[in-house]
Amino acid sequence: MKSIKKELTVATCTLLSQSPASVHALENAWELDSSYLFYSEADDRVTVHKFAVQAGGDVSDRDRVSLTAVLDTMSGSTPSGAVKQSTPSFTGASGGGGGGGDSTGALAKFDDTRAGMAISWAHTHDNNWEINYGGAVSIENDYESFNGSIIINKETSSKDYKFTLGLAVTADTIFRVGTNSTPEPLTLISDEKFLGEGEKNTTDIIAGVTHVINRRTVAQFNLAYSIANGYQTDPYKVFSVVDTTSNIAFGSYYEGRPGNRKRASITMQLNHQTYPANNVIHASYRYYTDDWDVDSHTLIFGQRFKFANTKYIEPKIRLYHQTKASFYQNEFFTDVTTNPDIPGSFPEYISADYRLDEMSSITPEIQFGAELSSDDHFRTRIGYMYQSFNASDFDTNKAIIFQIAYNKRF
Amino acid sequence: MHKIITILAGLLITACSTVSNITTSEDVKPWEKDILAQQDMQFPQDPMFSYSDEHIYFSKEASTGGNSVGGGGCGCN
Repeated sequence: MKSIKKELTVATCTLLSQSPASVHALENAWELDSSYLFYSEADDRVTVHKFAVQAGGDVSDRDRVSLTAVLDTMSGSTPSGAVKQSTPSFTGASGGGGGGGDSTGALAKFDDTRAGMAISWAHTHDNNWEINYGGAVSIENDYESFNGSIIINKETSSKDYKFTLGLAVTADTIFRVGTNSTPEPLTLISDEKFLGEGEKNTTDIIAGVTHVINRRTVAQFNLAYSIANGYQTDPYKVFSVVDTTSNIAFGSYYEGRPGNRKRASITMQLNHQTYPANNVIHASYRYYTDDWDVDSHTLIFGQRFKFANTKYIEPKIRLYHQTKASFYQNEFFTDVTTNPDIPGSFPEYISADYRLDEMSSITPEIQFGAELSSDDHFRTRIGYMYQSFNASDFDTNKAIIFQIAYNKRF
Repeated sequence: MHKIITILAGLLITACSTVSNITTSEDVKPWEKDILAQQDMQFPQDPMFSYSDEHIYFSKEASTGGNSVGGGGCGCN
């Protein structure tokens, strides 16, 4: 009894000792989050520098706005789809001026910049309803994207369940840099047959429920469905036609993909704070499937160890496996001396994009965070992504991921 | 050998205890939501890291989505 009395006295004193400044900060709750990401693939492939700033805060007791700005610079070389032995393809890659990134044309150099902006406005209604309106714009040298979204959240009166329903529509325009055109699929690149810009419209729907299981555990379950119609080919990617008898590459043709894609996924996430150590377990699993025959499993597990009440360290691992797309093939074999109409013997769609191959991936990473003060939060992480492909000439992709982020409350 | 069995038994008990703690459902009163209100108990735990991850894996894998809707852009070499 004496102990409880003492605890209550301490708690009362703590409340009374709150400075006007911290009370003010809680009322306004404006914060600025900034981040720098460095992503670099081995063998001088893709390097990305990503800068992002997000500012958000309450504009009334029912309205919260958030504004995000992002700038990416991407450079290096990426697999074009051509086999390593083929002649230079001169196709380039996103944002690039063309030209092979290696002596075979299997790697294409590129240099691209992306600027993006997103805004969201969340309005709280009576009876635990909240509606979040969002918009996003992204501009690259060869890709423009406009997105609008609405997300409705409803919490039960006890706030043990939150139901979410979200809808987003996205309109994308795709073209080769400087040309406002896209290549005619399945044509020889030296024929230089081009069409107009590619356009793609995507509708995303998400339905989810977040459930407070107990005082230390919260879980989330999401169902997502997406329909994309329009241009989904990569205007820079090619595939090689290889002679069956000599096994020598005959030429490179532009790839072609289906004009529609339906995706569905189930995601389960769980956060649990252990007792008495107060470490936090983060676990998630996603099953994904689409009508390009890509099925994937993603498993993420991390455990956050807290120390000194203001710092944490979190080892994390992400495991991923996907099946190949139905139209993926590393090359197209034919007898080039006897086949009078090589394009005529192509299937309807072909892509040699290594990302559509069967693939397994593992990404271990470690995160560190520190509260420099009650309003300043610093985080950093370093990870290593290892991807292993089944049929691609580039059978692995290895990348370092480094990020720092700083959050400031006002 | 005895030590290994002891360690394995300890790990098993810890794992069972953790699973039991996770799956035990209980009513949580508003004044008991201090832990659930912490940033590392939110989805996502770190929006900036999550935002960057989505871009990386969207660009490097054939599957995407599942956590939210919105955003946009490619940046996908």
